[in-house]
Amino acid sequence: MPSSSTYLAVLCTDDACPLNAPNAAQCMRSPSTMKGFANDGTNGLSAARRNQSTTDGIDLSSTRAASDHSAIYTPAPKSASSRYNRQMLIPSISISGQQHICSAKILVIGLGGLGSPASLYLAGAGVGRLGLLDDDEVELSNLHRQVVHRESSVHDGMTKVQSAIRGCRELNGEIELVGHELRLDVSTREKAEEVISVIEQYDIVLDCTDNPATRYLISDLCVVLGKVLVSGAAQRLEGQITVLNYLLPGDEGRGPCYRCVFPNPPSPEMVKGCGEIGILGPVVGTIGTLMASEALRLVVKGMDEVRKPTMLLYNAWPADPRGTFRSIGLRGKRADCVACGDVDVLTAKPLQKISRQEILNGRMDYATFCGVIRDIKLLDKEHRVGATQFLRTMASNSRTLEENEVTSRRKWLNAILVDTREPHEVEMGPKLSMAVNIPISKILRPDGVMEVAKLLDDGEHDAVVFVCQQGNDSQVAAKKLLDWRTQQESDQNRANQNITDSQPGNNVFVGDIIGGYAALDKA
Amino acid sequence: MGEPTDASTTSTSTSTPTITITVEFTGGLEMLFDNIPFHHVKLPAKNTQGQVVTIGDLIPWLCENLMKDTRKELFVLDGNVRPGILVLINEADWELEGEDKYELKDGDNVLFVSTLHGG
Repeated sequence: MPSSSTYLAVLCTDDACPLNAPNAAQCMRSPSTMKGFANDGTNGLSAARRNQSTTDGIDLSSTRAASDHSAIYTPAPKSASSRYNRQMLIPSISISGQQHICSAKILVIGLGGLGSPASLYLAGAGVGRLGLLDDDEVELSNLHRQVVHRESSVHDGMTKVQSAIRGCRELNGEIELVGHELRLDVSTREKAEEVISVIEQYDIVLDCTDNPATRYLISDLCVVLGKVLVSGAAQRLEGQITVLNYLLPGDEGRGPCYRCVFPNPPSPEMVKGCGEIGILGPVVGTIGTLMASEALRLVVKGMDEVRKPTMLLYNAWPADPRGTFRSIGLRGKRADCVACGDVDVLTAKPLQKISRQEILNGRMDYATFCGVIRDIKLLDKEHRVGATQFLRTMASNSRTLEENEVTSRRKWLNAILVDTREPHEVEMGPKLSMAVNIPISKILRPDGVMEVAKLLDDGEHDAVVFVCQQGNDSQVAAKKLLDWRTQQESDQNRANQNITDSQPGNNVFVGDIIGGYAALDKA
Repeated sequence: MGEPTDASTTSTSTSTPTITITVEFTGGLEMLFDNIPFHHVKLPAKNTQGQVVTIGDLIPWLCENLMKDTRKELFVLDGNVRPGILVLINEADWELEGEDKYELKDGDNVLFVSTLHGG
């Protein structure tokens, strides 16, 4: 009979572990517990789960061959000392839970800030088949948060799929990693078939993408294909995570889905990417990590675990530290949801339910549903200044310019140039030396336009030219000033006062630079 | 509380019963409210029709009294809260509480959550 300390060494090779203490007698509880699991590793789970548990992924055979005393003594199962030992020590995981993890099939869509930690933790946990889907390449600006990728991924021009497979492979060489270099596009039958055939191979989908159109598409696909969806998102210092389309008790099917929670997409103007508004690495990493944790919970506790629809909100730097995490109660499934709702309710409306066939037929146009930002056109042509023209006129000597350019130069040299970017954007971006910074957020406040108008009070300027990053906010600001001036004029007319020129700025040119700094950069 | 205002007398701000609630904005919405995410809001307990003030009354009230940005359409669209914003009453979706008809009580917390999309 092996001594108890030898036995425990198989269980735990960590010297710091109290189980390896010389006076191991106090740990005797552990071998007997493990022995119990070896005999009945499934520990009371349903018959269906028990049947599959011995076949997949994890070895239940004992660590040593049968010996003389085998009639009375069974050593711990090999798997108990595997690389997954530390998570198997959690009672609610144990051997059976690990077996479920080792046979789980999980798809991570989007290998960015969310998908990086999610895929690493799922690979580390031993998920049997881990699908990694993306259509992008690794860039240097990804690395501060997309921790599955490496500098060498950028230098070698790797795709995110290649790079994530390498990262996960280095962490765990024992699992099946499947790369899908694919754009989630269902605009044609061929593309839709490919997308569906990928998602069909998995049980759980993690939505780690970065735009509403893709989020609606993934949700619809999960509904028509019957997959649980773990949905996460993060921006700046905040994150959100929710589990959708899970099995409901009784015969209620699945729900709620992304459309139940958000029936209508946000206006495209409100949707800003991480590249525009920023993201802190650990924030998106926290949400990605929580997504992996939710996926493992689904795998271990079962897809049919009764849960309430909730969303977890995370704020990394809240004003009140108690507000770092908060869980909010969401509404349940919507009976008239076009994706997961009740057919009878929808027919009465009348609305057509989204089906696999409809997606296959290329009927679903997610880009149109969510809208695209069009370049705004608030100003007439005569109020707009080309970026190239502006730089050339301002930087050149008068002698080399055409006559009309000389006039422009005279006007613009005496102009007030208002940079409407926010101060941190100015700090990080290119600058025009003569610009004053009045951020758009200030101009859009009630009476915010007065900030600009008062610069004209001295009556010494012939023009106000606005400039921003893309040439949209500059138009908004210019329009605001023009509207204000019109209002002032009509007020004056009504008051029957002197209608000409008593108000400063009536003859001042108001305009903007087309395309903003983005265009100036290229000029 | 509930000191009824006589329609025939002119009510002053001191005689109008008020309730105090907390209003919070997350997910970037706070930018429309002077970058302040947490507000104590004191508002009349009854709306202009003399009924108990509801969330439906609160939303235009916020636009007029609390919002510093002139882009109201980033918060309200066609009289409703813009798509993509969840409204939570005491941390539960307002659709569980009667939506805009929910009658506000002293001490309620109303949280507006803008959906995030980044990943």
